Amino acid sequence: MIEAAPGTAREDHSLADLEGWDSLAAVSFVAEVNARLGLTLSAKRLTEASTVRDLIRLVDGNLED
Amino acid sequence: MHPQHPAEAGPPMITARLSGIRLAGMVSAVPDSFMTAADDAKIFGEKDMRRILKNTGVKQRHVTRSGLCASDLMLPAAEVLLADLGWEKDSIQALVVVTQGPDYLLPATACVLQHRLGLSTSLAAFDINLGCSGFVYGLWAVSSLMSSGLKRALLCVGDMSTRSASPLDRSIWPLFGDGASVAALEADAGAGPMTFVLGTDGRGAPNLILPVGGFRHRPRFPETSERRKCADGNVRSEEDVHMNGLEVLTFTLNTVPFLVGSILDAAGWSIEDVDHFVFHQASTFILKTVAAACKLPPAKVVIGMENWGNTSSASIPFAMCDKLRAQLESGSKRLLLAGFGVGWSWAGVALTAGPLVMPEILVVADQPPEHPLGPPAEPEPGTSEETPTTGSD
Repeated sequence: MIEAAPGTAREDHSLADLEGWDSLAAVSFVAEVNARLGLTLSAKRLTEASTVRDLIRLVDGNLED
Repeated sequence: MHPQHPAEAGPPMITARLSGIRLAGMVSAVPDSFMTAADDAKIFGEKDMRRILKNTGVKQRHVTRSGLCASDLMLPAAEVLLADLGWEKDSIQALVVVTQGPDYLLPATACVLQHRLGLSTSLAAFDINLGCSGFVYGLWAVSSLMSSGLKRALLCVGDMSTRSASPLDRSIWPLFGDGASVAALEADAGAGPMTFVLGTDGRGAPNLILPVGGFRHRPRFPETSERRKCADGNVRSEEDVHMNGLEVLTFTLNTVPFLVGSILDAAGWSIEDVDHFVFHQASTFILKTVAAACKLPPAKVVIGMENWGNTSSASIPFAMCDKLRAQLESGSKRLLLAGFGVGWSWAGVALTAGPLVMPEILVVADQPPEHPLGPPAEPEPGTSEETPTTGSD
């Protein structure tokens, strides 16, 4: 998705500074979450995410809904 | 996400069932000028282009360089289709053009095309402004019209999407291609039902929009035509089309599985009953993601955009002309067609189609007509063409 080795992105990583995180990666992220978990994330809330931790929370929040 | 139970959580949709109308033929057309992914790599860089290509699946697409209009492709396409069908032009009673790139703001492109095609004036003609959902909406509109007693009709769909795209917008430029298609429909008492499901949600309007050019914002002011770097990193002006790809994907995932389920339910079909699912060719990535979300067998989902790109309302006919031509020319198939996108607007249909008259995809000279409104009127006999002068030599 961002073409980085597994384990290289930490939770406190800013998405703006994460190499490879862009609109294409965001689209792939939504598709991957949909395929693996059957969830469709909110595009608006994903756009508001600023860190890797925000992404995790976004998915966790959807799983709890 | 379970297409078998659309009513549980999906958006509300209307259904319509029409019988006695037969899809008789279909053809698509492109301009002869094209661009390849290699050309796009010169704009967006090799590395980004590899990722874009993986997403779009578009290796080349046809791009007018001369200012061709969609109607300039519809015209030869309709001529070829009518000739191959052996239909007299006077037998056509309705002409519907689905486009978001009309020749003029007024009159309707369908009116201009009626004259250019030499069709009878005893004909109903009008335009429909839709894109991704446009072919199925058009099929529904024309079939509904024909149910009132018409015998034959032409449905023309398509856009020159690249003409309103910024060549520096990577969400748009490497994805969209120019193209148009024409379908011929005929009343036939023995034709099986077409089961339609349609819906609309205008909250999605800002996510796929050409903001300037209508009456809300008139075009060609310096402040609307200047291309600037936008928040999404793309470079475009307000006179270029804008697409929020993330919103398009989430809309698609939230809508299409329920649309597919609703069509199957309304038609009384199961996934196994369908020979081919032909969706709006939004991008290869979206098609594969949607197919997986709908739990469809990948082999039944037609992907036919590698050489054409996303051709807007013509993308379903393009996929059929490209990938199903041999099968539909020789026999009949159970098809589920579904378009979804700009609006938001969505529509699907279950129908049994074929055998169809399907000429090869036409490649048309990228040369706009000299007189798109018809040749200039001949001067009346006895009148002078000389400019009147007030002075004398």
